[in-house]
Amino acid sequence: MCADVILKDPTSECTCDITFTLDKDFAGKVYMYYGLTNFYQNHRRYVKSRDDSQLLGRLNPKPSSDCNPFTTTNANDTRAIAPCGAIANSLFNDEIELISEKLGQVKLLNTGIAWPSDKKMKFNNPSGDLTEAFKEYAKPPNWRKNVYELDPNNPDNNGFENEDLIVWMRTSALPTFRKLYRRVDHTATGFVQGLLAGNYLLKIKYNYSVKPFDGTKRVILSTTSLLGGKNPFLGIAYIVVGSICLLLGVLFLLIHIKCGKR
Amino acid sequence: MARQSRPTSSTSTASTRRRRGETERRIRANDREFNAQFHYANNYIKTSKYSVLTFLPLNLFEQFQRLANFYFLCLLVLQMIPAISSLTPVTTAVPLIGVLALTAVKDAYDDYQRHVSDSQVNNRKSLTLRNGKLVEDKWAQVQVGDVIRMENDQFVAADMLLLSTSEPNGLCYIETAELDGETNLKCRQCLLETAEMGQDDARIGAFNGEILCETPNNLLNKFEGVLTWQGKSYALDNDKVVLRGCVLRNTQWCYGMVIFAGKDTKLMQNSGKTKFKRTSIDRLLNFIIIGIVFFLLSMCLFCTIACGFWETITGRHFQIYLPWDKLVPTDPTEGATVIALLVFFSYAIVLNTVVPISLYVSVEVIRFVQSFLINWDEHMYHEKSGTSAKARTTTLNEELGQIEYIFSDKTGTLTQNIMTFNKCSIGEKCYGDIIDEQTGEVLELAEGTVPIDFSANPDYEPEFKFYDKSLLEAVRRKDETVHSFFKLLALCHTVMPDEKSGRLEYQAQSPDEAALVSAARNFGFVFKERSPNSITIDVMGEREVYELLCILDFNNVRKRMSVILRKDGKLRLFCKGADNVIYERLKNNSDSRKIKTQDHLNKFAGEGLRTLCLAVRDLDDDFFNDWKNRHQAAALSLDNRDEKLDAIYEEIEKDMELLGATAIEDKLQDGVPQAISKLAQAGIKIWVLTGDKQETAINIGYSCQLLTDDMAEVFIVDAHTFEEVELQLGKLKDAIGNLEKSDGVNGGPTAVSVVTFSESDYQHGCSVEEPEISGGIALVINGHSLVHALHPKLEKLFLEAASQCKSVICCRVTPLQKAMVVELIKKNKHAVTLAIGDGANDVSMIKAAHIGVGISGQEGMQAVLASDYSLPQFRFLERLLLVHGRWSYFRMCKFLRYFFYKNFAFTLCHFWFAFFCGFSAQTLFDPIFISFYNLFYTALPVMSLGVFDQDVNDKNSLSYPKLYTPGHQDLLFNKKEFLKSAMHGFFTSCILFLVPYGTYLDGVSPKGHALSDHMLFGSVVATILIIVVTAQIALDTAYWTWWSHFTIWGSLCIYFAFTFITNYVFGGSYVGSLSKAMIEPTFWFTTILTVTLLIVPVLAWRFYFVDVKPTLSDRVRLKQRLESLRSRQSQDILRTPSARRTRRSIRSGYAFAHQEGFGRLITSGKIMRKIPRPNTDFSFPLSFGSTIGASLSPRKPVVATSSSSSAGAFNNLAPPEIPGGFNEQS
Repeated sequence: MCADVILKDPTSECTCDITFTLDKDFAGKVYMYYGLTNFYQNHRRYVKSRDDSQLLGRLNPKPSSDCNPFTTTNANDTRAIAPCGAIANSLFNDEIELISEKLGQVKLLNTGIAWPSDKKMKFNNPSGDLTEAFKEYAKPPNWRKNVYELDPNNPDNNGFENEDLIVWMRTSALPTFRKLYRRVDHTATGFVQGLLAGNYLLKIKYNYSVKPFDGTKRVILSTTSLLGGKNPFLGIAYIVVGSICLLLGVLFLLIHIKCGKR
Repeated sequence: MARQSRPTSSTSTASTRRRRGETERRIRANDREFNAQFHYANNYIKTSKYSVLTFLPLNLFEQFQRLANFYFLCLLVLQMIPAISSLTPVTTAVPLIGVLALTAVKDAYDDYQRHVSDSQVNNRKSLTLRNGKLVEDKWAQVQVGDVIRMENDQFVAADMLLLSTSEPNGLCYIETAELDGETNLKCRQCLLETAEMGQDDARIGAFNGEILCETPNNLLNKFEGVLTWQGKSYALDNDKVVLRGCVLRNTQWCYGMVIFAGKDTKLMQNSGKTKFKRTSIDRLLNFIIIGIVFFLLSMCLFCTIACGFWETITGRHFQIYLPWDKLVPTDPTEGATVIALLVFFSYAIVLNTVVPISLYVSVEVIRFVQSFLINWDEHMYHEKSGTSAKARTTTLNEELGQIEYIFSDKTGTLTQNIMTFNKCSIGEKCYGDIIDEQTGEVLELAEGTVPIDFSANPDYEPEFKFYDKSLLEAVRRKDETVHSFFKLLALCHTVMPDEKSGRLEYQAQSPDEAALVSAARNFGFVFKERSPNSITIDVMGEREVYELLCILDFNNVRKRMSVILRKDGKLRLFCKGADNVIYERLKNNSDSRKIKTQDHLNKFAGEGLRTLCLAVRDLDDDFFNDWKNRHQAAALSLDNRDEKLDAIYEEIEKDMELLGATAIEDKLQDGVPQAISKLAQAGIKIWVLTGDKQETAINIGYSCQLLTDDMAEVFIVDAHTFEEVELQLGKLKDAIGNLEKSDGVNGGPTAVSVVTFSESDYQHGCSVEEPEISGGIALVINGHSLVHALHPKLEKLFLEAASQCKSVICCRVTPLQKAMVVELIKKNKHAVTLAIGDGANDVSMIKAAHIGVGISGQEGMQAVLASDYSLPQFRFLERLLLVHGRWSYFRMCKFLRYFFYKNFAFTLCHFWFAFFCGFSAQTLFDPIFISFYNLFYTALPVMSLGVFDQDVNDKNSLSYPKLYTPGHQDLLFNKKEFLKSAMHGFFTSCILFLVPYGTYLDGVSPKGHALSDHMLFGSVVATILIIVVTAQIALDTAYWTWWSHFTIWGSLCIYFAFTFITNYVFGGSYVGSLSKAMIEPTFWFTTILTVTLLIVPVLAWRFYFVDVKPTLSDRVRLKQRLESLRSRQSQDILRTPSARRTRRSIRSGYAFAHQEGFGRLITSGKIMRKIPRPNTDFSFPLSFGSTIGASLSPRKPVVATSSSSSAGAFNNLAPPEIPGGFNEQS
């Protein structure tokens, strides 16, 4: 298993293939999410461990102490880490590819996955050439790439403005969560209607370790409706509450007629 | 009168401690250098606490002594520690600084007021002798040993020894209302030796007497000292000393030497620090807060343990992404333990909002505004005096809604202290009623009734009002009995005439006598002047001089007074007194006059009037001379003189002829009976504590409906010994027991208020039945019995018996006893007490009670100054309690219930979140939201509820006094109600967390973005919380004003506006979260679901109780609503319980409210400025008063000075021998 390989040597490369079958067409826009469980992105020390000022592009050789212990690389090398802090350091870095049996590689988009407001207001790159700007800064210890090399294909999707990073930095409320990973490109031929029924292969380049803390990883493909993804909770709750209210209404009408005192 | 001083105040103990060395005080007059060596306090007075420099440190120190402030300071310190801090320190610092600043401003203002009043007092001017010259000086600069000149109607600046006065014999009159509440004049007399100095400044300036006296203390009627002057020593006692706070009256000037000044004066020694009063809600709050703190700590403890487990099971392994802090040991168990311990404090910070810091501030602000509502109430404005009700303490309002016992003073509080000559019966005919000329019926006195015009009489008084013309006609007819009647009134008294700006004025020591003499005056029998042996009156313009042979003075046993007069050789005895006493001494024949007059007396008494019978007896010379000789012998006897004199008096006061009776009205204040009956219906027990006599007290008890004929018994306890009192109380208890038994047979007391809403009632509104409460026992207890009843051994018995009586009247009680009675009830009954009074003698009681109310607009301000609320009239108490008190209590309780609910609902969300964030003390909400929640988002609506809400309007509050009773049992806010609110909050937070949890766990927006992030989730829960909590307050608001609308809708707007501003304008980290959430339909569906889930059960619960078990308040509210719907009609149908005029039992009242001993003063001539004409026939004063009244009798010459024996002393003082004083003025 890849998980064990990774555990032994975090730098080793391991690819995991998973096949699955869609019984019916996924009509409309399809989104790919990764899900983690038992991952405490909402832990106090974790939530705190970021430097918002740095993420706005105001690089400082001494990042906020909130980032400890991911402020500087180590005691000897006093280069500041960019982006600093535990959140950035634990960026999800598995690489997932989706291959359709019939149509081959499914084209996935890695932009448009972050909230526009975040991208606009909370994450800014330092001005000038990114490589130059980050020269004096180290990458977080867990990372395999530098912050300015996150998306080799799209120079605008690098640095702090990388959408994978932005999505990750929006810490989840609960230890079980999903985050948007990719959008299926519906402009490509064969995917205009959505994801058609058939066999698919998930090719996962396994980098991210969850085994030590008993976490699990999931990949979720989902379409959306007006209320977002599939979530039966609201529907059930409404039916239950509605019935209770109706019952109460009848009950109180009876009470009022029978024992109501004026 | 053995008046004891009030309990020793803290100031006095402090000052005595400070100068423990001072065992005696040595002062030399006019010698500042000599006196300076002892460092006596000068006359500077300081009641303020701070100066500009000391204000900040002292005030902060005081504020941090309050537990709440200290608690938040600790929290603030904790938040500064990075390893613990789960919230930025700002969240605590902002509210804490706000609270401290607000309180500091208030304290500063209060202290400024004290500075102002201090400097006003200290800068009063006084005339001080310096080197034999009078210099105007400030009060503050007066020092011990200085000699001061005081003038009429001036306040006395310090405690001083009288040296000389303008009045004969070195007498001087003072009013001590500020000190002990007694408004009658008292006289003081200086040493005759010093009195000789007169107003010769040079002589007085050279006065170098030395005083050796006691150290400063707070005993008002005790002074001991010795004056050494010119080689002789003179004993000094209380009669030679005037105290600071007295006012000089009827004395042109006097000189005195300062003995105690400033804080050493008896006035200041008595003005103990006002106790800080707290309401029962305050105490309950403190208890609850401590409970909450324990709850908080247990939550923290739970989280700590859970955190320990989490770190060991999960957190330890999660270190690849989230390593532990450096200071935490790497060993898994140790590390987890350390982290868990730190988390304890972190959670203490996160969850601290269950103990809301803003609670205290909000409570204070609400009470403050409520006080203004009391001050502004037009219905409590008294036009005549131009004063309105005033809340002097702003922290006690809600306790006004819980009063169970009212202790009321009588004179000046229930009554106006105005006696009016109201009716009389002369020779079988009753005068005073206004009779309709056509029907012959007695008319009620109405506004338009025209009083008789007395202006034909040059000496008439415009204030005097009498309505029955037939009496004046009888006078003009020269009806002989009527003339004798009025002559008696003009002659038989101890009133002194006085000329003030050309008008004749009377100085009476009892208002009853003044009323009688002034009645005679208006009817044309003007008492003009008196000398030791003559009385001059004007009868219908003709001068008549009577030779005064003897005054048979009044005392408590005799209950009558007589004068023996001679005119034109005819000797006559005039007597007035209590009816039973007079009737026993009438001629032994069955006269129709006796029977008729008795009827009239009964009628008068039934109307609550104070009656006196008048009788005369013609004497012959032989009998009188014989009697006079025996009288003289008795008067000179050394032993049992009083008894002998009484026996002698008895001999001559018999076989009298009845003239008639007078009826004096001790005017009640307006609306007193109505107010009392309303308050009684509200379940409040009213006790009257008065210094008056038993008879007067009972009389007033009847006229203000405290005592009624329905009562099974009026039980009087008047024993003098411990055993007897015990016996009497035992009997009383038995009587109560018997009564209860018989009640039990009859099916129990019917004192239950029933509201019936029948079908037909809907047509006319609803009627409320208040059945008359019949039966019950009233207790009247005398001061001397009370001494024993308050003894620790009898206390319980007394309390048990008294608290079962319907009304209790304590008469002849001292101020200290008043306070003790209040303390007794306070201590043992755990009931809220209110004391109301007008005079300085009520101060101790006002201070002792939970709430003190002073009647303002009277002369003395002492009671008002010591009080928490001041009212112009007693009747406003009804509105103060039944409307404002009830509202305040209702509001405060509602406020508190809601306040705890909203804080629990808010804070516990963090607790639920703890289960999902590894017990790491992460907050669910934005820190900014946390600091603003109590301050801006939810504060205003609940404040407006606390200030304006009302379940029932003021009119109905007054119409249904039973609405007041929930306060007695603390029904609206108690531990149970608190738990209910807390549980409500608990479940609210639970649902608030769980519903969004369900919807947002896998939440995705239509555009595919995950919506399950922390910031969005926090914003969603926060927003729903605000909506729910606002909906709840809207539901709780029973009385919507524009202000409620403004605050409730405003709060919602403020929330959204602030969130927008803080995030978008100041760039908060939560930027975009809420707006992102709100554009998604998921949010709205979740909100509707949550709000429904939370509000519907509340609605159902309330509907059930209002529908099935409505309280009186619910019913009245329903009625009120129906009324406002079909507005008009109903008003007249609503039966407002009117003050019913019950027929009162036949009692005899008698109208001697004055003290004895004045008769002797008159005949000795001591108090007369000039003697109209020397009388050679009767140079020997005949009347030797019996016992000497403590404060009014002239002083016996004391010890060292006087060479003569006590009997001879009177001779020395008799007019011809008196040196100085007398003749130099005439």
